[in-house]
Amino acid sequence: MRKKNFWISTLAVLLTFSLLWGFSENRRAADFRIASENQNQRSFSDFVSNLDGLETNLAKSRVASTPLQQLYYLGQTSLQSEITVKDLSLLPAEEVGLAYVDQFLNQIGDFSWSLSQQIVKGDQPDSKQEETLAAMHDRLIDVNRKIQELAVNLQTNNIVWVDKPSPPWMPGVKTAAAASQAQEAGADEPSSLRASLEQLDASLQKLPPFTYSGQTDTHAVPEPLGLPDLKVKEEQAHQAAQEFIKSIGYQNTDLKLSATTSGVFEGYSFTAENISIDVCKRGGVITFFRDERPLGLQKLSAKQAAAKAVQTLQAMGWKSFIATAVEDFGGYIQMDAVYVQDNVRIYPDKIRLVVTKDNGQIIGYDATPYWLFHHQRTLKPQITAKQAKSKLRQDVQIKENGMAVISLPGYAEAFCYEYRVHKDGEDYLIYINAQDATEEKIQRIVITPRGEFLQ
Amino acid sequence: MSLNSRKALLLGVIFLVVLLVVSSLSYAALGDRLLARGSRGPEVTELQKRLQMLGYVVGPIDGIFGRQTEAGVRLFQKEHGLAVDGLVGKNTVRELKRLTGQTVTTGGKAVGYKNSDVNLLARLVSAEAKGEPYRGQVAVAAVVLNRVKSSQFPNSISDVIYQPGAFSPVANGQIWKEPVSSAIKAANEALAGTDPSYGALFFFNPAKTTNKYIWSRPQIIQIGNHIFAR
Repeated sequence: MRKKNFWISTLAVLLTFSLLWGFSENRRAADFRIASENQNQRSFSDFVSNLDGLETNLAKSRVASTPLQQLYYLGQTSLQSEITVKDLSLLPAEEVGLAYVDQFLNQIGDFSWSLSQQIVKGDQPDSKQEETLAAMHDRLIDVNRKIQELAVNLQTNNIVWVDKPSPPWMPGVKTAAAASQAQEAGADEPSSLRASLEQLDASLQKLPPFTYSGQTDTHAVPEPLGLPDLKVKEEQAHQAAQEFIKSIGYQNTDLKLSATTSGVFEGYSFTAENISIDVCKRGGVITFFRDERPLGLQKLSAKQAAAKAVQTLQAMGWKSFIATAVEDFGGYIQMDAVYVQDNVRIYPDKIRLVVTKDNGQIIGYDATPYWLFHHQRTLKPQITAKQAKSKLRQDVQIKENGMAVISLPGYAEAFCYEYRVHKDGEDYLIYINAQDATEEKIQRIVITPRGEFLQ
Repeated sequence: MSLNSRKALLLGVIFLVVLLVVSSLSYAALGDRLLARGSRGPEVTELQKRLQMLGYVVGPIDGIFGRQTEAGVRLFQKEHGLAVDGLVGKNTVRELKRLTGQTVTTGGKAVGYKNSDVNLLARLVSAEAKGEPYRGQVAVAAVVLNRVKSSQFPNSISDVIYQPGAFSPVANGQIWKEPVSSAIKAANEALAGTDPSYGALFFFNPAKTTNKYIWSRPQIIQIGNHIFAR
C-alpha cells in the first residue's frame, strides 16, 4: 500500500513538473513567435513604404528641370532601390530569392546612378535614356500597386508568410486557414505572402530586362576579349599545363586530367598532389592555378617575394607587368600583377597571384581578369597633364602621379591621369579622365595589418 | 577614526589598487616575456584572443597556456612560415600582433578592424565547406561575392548570406561556430578577387540535393563534393 502511494505521489510530482515545464516552454515559444512576427511585419511594412518612396522619387526625377534637382532625385532613387532590395531580402522564405524582383529593383538603382554620374559630368540624359526611365517607371507603378494590394490583404485577411508543408502527425493550423482562405478567394489566389511575391517574380520574368549603356547587370555573361582564337585539345592543354608548372619550379610532376569545365572559360582541369590547374580550350591558356603545398620558413620580405613573382612572370613571357596591391599574410603574399602599356598601368588586365615568402614561388595564379579584359588599346590623352592637375583641389598635396586605365561599373573603362594625393593626414587616389577632364573616381588608401588597401 | 584619516586610508587604498592594476597591465603586454606551455596570466589571454581572431582553436580563453593553446600556436607558426616550436617569442608575437592589428589611415590614425565582412564570409565558408579542398573553399566565398555583384541578389555580403533560404548553415545555426583558419584564408583570397568558380552563383552537393531549380542551372565546374553553377 505504502509502495503504491509512493509511486502515485512520485508520478503526481513528475506530472506537475512536466506540466509546468510545458507551460513555460509554450510561453517562451509564444514570445519567440511574437518577436519573429513583429520582425516580419516590420520588414514588410518597410518594404511597402520604401517601394512607394522609390516610385515617388523616380517620378519626380523625370520632371526635375535643373541638374541639381535631377541629381538629388536620381540619387534618392538609387539609394531607395538598394534599401528595397535589402527589405525584400529580410522577408521569410523557404527557397532562395526573388531573382526578377531583385533584378528589376537593382536595375532602377543602377540606371539612375549611371544617369546621375552622367549629369555630374554635364551631360543631360538623351531621349533614349528618358524613354528607358519612363518604361522603368511604368513597370514600377505596376509593381508598387501590387505590393500595396498585398499590404492591404495582409492587414484585412489572415495571410501567412510562407506555405510550410506540415508534418502528417500535426495538421498545420496556419496552412489550413490559409487554404480555406484561398478557397474562398478563388483557386488562383496565392495562400501566402511569399507565394504572392513569387507570382510577382514570375510575372516580371516574362518581361524583358532593361538594357542601357553602362549597366553593371550581370545577367549577360561577358565575352572574354583577350582569349586567342586557337582551339586546343586535351593533349595540348596537358602540355601547356605541364610547361606552366615547370616554369614555376616543378620539374618532375605529372599532371592528370581530373575534370572538364564549362562556361566562358570552358576547359580542362588537371591535378597532381597539391596542385590544381585549369587550361582554357580557347587559346590553350592557363586560367587558374593553385598549389596547396605547406609553407616553409619565411625568408623573404613581402617586397622581395613580389619582385620574385614579377621575375617569374617575365621568364614565362609576361614581359610588361608590375606588382600592385601587395597584401602580406605572413607565410605568403597576395598581389595583383598589372599589365603596363606605354607607361600606362592597365588595371583591368591583371593576374592575381599568391606568392610564398619562403622562396618566392607562385602558388596561386588567377588570370581570368586578364583574359576577360585584355585588348589592344589606343592610349592618346586629349588633355595635358597640366590641364588634368588643374582639376584637383588646391589644398591637396600630390605625392605621386602617372597614367592608368581603370575599370568603371559594368564593363566600361576610363583612361585617366592617376594622382596619389595627401590631405588632412590621409592619402587618396584621384583619377582625372584623360579624354574629357572629369573626375572619374576617388579611392581612399588605408593601411590594414596586411598592407595598403583601397576603399 | 576621524574623517580625515578615513579619507587618507581610502586614498591609500585607491592608490594601491591603481598601482596594482597599472603594474599588472604593463606586465601583461604580450611579447614582454617568452610564453610556453604552462604560462599563465593576462598575456596568455591576449595571445589566445588574437589566435582565435585568426581562426586558431585554443580552447577556452582562460589565460592558461595549455595543450590546446600550444597546438594553436604550432599551427599558426606552421601556416605563417615561422619556426614551429610552440613557444611564443618575439617573431611569433610580432606576426600575431601585425595580423590582428587595426586598420589605420596613411597618417596613422586607427579606424577600426574593418574585418566584419571577412569574418562573416569565413564563417559561412567554414560551415559550408570545411572538409572540402582549399580551392573549393575559395570558390564558396567567391559565390557569395558573385551574388553581391549580381543584380538578381541583394547587394551586401551580410544581405546575401542571411537571405532566408539561401544557405543551410544560417538556418541551422552552424554559421555561429568559429571559422577554421583555412576558411579565413579562403575568404581573404576571394575578397581580393580570386574566383576559382568562374562566376558561379550557386553551388550544391549532388549527392544531397534534389532541388530541381538548382539542378537546372548551367554547371561550370565540380570542385571536391560541390558542383558550381551559374
